[in-house]
Amino acid sequence: MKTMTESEALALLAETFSEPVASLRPDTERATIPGWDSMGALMLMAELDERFSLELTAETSKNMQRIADVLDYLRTHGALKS
Amino acid sequence: MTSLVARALGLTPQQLLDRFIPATAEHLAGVVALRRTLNAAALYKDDSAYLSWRYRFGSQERGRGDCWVLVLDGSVCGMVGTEEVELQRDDKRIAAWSTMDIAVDRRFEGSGLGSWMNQRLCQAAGCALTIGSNDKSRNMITRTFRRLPDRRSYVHPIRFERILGKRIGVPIAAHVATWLADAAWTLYRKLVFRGAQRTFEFRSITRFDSTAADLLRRAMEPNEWCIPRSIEFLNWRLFGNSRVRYTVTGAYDQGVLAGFMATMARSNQEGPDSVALVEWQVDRALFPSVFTALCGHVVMQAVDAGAESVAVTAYHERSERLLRRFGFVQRLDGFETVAVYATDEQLLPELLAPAPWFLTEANTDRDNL
Repeated sequence: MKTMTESEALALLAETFSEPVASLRPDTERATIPGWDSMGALMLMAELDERFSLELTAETSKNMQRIADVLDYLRTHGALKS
Repeated sequence: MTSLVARALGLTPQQLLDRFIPATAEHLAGVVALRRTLNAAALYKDDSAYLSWRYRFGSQERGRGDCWVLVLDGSVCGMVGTEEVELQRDDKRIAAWSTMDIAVDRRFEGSGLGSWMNQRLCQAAGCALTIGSNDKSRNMITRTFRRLPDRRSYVHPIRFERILGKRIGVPIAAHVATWLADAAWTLYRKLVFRGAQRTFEFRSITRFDSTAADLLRRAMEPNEWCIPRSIEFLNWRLFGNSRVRYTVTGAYDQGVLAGFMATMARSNQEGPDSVALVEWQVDRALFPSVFTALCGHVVMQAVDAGAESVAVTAYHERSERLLRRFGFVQRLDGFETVAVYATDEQLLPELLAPAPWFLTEANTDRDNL
């Protein structure tokens, strides 16, 4: 599996949610990211599937409430360099 | 997209497609229950009657579109409402769906289901229109549809007591300022609407009959995109919704209907009622004079009713120019999106090209709020 650094992951999430990368940090809350809506969730699923073959379930996606939760998920599944 | 969402929900793509269907009467209770879990109950009182009016639920006798539902294990887990419309510019008429009322069971938040349902219907329709949005849906609209210029909201203040009371801390100063502002605007109204109403006779309309068909033809502007009105549509939209009561006033020129405006009184939690102008059709040959007369009539009705203001969200530059002249001030604290979707690659540039549009609140589902 390909791996990425945290800054690369933040850049990917910024692109996915149509946010400036500077505005995303691990502690950024989902509620404060306008692009992390239904469409954003769908884009995130598509990115994780395409890049890492990770199958995000609705429940896991729903439980991601901060950027850190996405980073943790990537780390747990070996897609993020420690 | 279908496979991603299906997988997130634990379904096969075919199962997801098979379970997304136009609602029938048996789904109505499930749709009401879903909406109730997502919104304050007070907002959705009489929801069953409202939904039965707006959507078909398996009957061709009611509604002007289907309510599409995703049914999983017998329960309604998602919904998107549609209204079948036509977009018309001169002789070009395009069948389209207007999508609204997207709702997803909280259990499936984060699955992308809302976006998928919306995209699925847009693709099925071939051409879709969405008007008005809240913060939550704005991003979805931006990424699924192509945005046209925003609609603009205006307010014509009638009574300044509450507005100035909030801004001026000293009660006596606020009182004096209110008196001066009220007097100045009363004078301004007299000036801008003077004489305009004398030419026309105003009558209340409680149902449109075949005599209105001629006005609807005469109201259409060349080179302008619109959703053409019909008598059937107007009677459904303005007199069929049990949740809202409209006041419809016709302006008659020598006994012939030259235009009408529809308004509704809106309760404001912060203060006295305002009056919202939701729909108008005006003979284009008599446009400035009829529009002015009807506007003056509506505003004076609101003054007599003790309303604090008259509000309108418009998408018609010609009307808006007059509204601004009549003292309607554009609100800067919000914007209302208009966006289109078309699978036809030749149609999309036509819809997006700079051209006048005519849409009113009657083309939205916002007036039930």
